[in-house]
Amino acid sequence: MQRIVVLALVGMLVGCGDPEWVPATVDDDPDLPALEFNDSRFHVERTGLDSGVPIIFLAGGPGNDFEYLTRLDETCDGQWLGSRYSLVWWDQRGCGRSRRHDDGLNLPQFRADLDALVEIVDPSARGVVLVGHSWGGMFAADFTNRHPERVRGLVLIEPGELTQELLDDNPTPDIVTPAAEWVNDFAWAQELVTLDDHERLDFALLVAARGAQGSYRINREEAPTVRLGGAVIRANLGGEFYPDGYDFTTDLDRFTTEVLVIAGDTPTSDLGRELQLRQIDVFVDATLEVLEGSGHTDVVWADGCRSATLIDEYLTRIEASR
Amino acid sequence: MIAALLALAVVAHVPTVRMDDEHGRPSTVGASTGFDDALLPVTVGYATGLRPWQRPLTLGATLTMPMLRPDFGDLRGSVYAELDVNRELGWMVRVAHGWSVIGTRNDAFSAVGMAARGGVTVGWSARRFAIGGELVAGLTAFTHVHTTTWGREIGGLPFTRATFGAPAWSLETGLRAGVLLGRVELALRAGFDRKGRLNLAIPPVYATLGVAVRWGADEWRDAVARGRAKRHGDGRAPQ
Repeated sequence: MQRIVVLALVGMLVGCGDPEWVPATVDDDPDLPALEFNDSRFHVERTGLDSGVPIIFLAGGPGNDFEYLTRLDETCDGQWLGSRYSLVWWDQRGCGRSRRHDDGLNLPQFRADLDALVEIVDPSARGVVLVGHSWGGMFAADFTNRHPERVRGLVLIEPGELTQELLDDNPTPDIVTPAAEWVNDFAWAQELVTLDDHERLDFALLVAARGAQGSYRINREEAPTVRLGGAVIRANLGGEFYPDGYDFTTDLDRFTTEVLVIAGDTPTSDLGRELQLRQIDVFVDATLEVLEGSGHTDVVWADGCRSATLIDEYLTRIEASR
Repeated sequence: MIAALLALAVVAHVPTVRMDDEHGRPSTVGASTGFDDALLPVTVGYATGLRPWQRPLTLGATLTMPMLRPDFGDLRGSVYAELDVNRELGWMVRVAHGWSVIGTRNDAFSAVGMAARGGVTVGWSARRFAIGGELVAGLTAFTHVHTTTWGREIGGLPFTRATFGAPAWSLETGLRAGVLLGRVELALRAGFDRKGRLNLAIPPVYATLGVAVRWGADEWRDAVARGRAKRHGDGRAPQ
């Protein structure tokens, strides 16, 4: 009997470490499509027309994976972006199924990663289309600000504030309050799941992912994630991600192609129509499309088809004007 | 691993002023709260003092629940033992050991696990006062996780049920002090709580304040008796 108990305990303590807390990264699953550059390994999937102009999709956060953008990959009103373009779905550094890193998770590194990705998918420099949501929209605007000659089209879907000044004037609601249920759930769960490696960090952060935006950025339909980039979110919360006083608009006057901005209009969103009306003037030529009743992620998920149709129409428009 | 677990112990929410009494068997019930793995978790507990091997031994049990947002899925039940190495008052060296069953429930998953905690307290112990530095290590032996539909369909979690070995640990270093005022003990614990190298913005500290009532020791029975005798004016304690 004693032997059985001891064996059970040993099995419990040693053998139970096998299940995966979260989906594997490209380092753990060699079957996942991946690209290696900048001393990292990234999850990159490509759909659509191989020879088409690349459209790079940039997810929000920083810290989200691209899964919640994939409704833009569907056929809507008989049109599919992939029928004319090469669609590039990229999990940014430390996010989704890309490799995890403890440090170096900051804007300069992310800039270097996007620069390298553009070189890989557009070696002949004919230009790429960038489609970014939330942080991804800021990221896309920043790339355009630095390399306007490499951008063929720019679609910003409820981008965050493009300058520090605007951010300071449009504060995000204080999501980390001691009385918040998710804060208490998150803290208490650490009795059972210590944040000692990336798997457990990404797993435990799901507790916060829903609650942290629970009282604002309300959506009609919840958008899915595959795996959060916990270390990236941690770096952002710790103030390590953005440099002091960022400004992604300094040279945007060099980009004269029309920019498409898509926003929802729910009163709970701090990044909806009102903010976009305030910052759209930084572009030489921009069109704002407002999706009524659409929340912050509804614009790409619940209303993903509406956005995909708008993007398709936009691309037709700018290609015709070239 | 098992040996390491068995070597661990718990000292949280244990009475600080010594429980032993050579002429009785004191017991105590109390409650504590503060910040410890959550804001305002309330712990209620019972403990009793023994004196085996001529050394003070405290045995107890506690139940903890975060009360700011009460949820019966978030609970911790513990049993523990704490032994004073020194038989006499004065320099205090205590070792403790305990086990806890912990549960949690949130949007993404519910989980239950078993943890061992252990530690040592070194300081000074007087009859009605004690203070010391403590070092407490904790290791969760296993956690059984059941993911929610939201966790799987929206959060991307790849399993419905799974058991994970040694998924959590903690290391607390801090101060522990208590004072006995009549039958009432006030106790304080505060210090740093190290949990995981990728810990987030949750403050890595703990601080709790507890109050407990004791009964059952001979000295208190004698004091009550002396009081009665004084009121009756015969100067003798009733038999």
